[in-house]
Amino acid sequence: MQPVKKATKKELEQFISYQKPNLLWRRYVAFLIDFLVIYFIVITPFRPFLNSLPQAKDLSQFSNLFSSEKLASLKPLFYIALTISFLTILYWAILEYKTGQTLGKKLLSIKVTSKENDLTFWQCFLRNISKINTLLLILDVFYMWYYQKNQRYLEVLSKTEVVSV
Amino acid sequence: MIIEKKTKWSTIIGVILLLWFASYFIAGSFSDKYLNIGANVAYIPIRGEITLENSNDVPFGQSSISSNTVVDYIEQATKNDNIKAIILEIDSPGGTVVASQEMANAVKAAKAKKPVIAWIRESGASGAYWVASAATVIVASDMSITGSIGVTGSYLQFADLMKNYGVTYERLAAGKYKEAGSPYEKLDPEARKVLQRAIDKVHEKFIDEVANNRKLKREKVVEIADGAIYLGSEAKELGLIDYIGDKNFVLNITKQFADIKDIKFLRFESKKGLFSVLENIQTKAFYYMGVGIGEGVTFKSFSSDFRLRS
Repeated sequence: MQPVKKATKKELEQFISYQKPNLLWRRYVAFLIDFLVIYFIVITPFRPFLNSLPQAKDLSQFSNLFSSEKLASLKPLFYIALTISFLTILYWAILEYKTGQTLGKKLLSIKVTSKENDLTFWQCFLRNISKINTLLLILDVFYMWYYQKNQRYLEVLSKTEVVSV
Repeated sequence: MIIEKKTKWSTIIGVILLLWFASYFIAGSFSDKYLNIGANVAYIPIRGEITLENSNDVPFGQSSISSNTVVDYIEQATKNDNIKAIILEIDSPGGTVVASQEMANAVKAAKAKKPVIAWIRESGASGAYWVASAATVIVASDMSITGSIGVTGSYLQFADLMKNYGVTYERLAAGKYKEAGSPYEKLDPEARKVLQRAIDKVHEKFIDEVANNRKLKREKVVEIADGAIYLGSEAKELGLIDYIGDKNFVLNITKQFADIKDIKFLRFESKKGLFSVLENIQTKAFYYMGVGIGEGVTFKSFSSDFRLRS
């Protein structure tokens, strides 16, 4: 009789986490909590700039969009958006690297783990890079819905996953 | 386990605080570049005594306005193609001659490229009126103080006071009038003439400038250039200002002159951050320690050296 191979703690965690149907919902709620945090700590300081930028209605007309004045105002918009995105990614990347959890994940008792060795900063950075753009994030999440292990594409790429604590 | 949990919480809170500070810091560094997107009218306040350099007299306020600063603001606004007009909000009793002239010249140069609207609030007298007169149009309240077209070089003289205390002044100078206007000796009639001649010349220049700027006959300006102040309503009758009006009037007239529908201000105001306020307090505290609080308080608003003011 062949000896039964004992499952490692990590394998058990993974098994449990895949079986939990509410993990996905916990991930959504955790994301919403983290988004609120990002709104207050990263977006709020930039509110005065965003308020001074041309309103959406100003840019709705094609001719307005390409007026020199509006084009000039798009350049700072690009820089501000880039800065906000970068700080947003840093929030997730630093916290997941240091603790495996963001505030949202901590409150919802889930965490990020590496599928291979210890979690590295670049794994954390890569798995969150889709947060630079809403469209990329949506595509990333779409992938998760059709993937058997409920992983985002960037999670597969970065060889990381979210498990229950 | 408990320690690990505590560490996790402190790390999470620490990173959140760090990013929060970083965001405010970066947003602060962006403010000068990007906060005024879409601005089409420059708003430059001229408040307090006009001087060449900024003073640190009042830690929590601004007692003077430097011509260096204002000229720089006017030049920036003139170069900026998005700026269609400049509003000068004036609330000043005047100041030194050279500083006033520098500001007036900058206004004249700006006027050649875009309309400059001088809006006199409480006071736009003497040197401040000189600056206003260079603008395209002057608006004031009927109760504003304007005019005061004159020059002063008055100063405090301590000769008798020093004599009472047995202090003598050893004069070591080459040139008969080298020390004309020294606060430590009485002004002799000849030296007085020399100083008065300079004052008269500046007065003549002031009159010429006002006459040219306001397109008034020189004789008419000479008549009213006796240093007297005029209320806005009187100044309007004399042709020293163009319109009596309030803030809304200024905004409407700016739209007309600049041919724009809406106004978005690019405000040129020196910001007093906490550090600069603290620095000013510290500087002033050490200054008073050095010169003695008595002198600092008693003679603060008087000049003890001869200097032309308009």
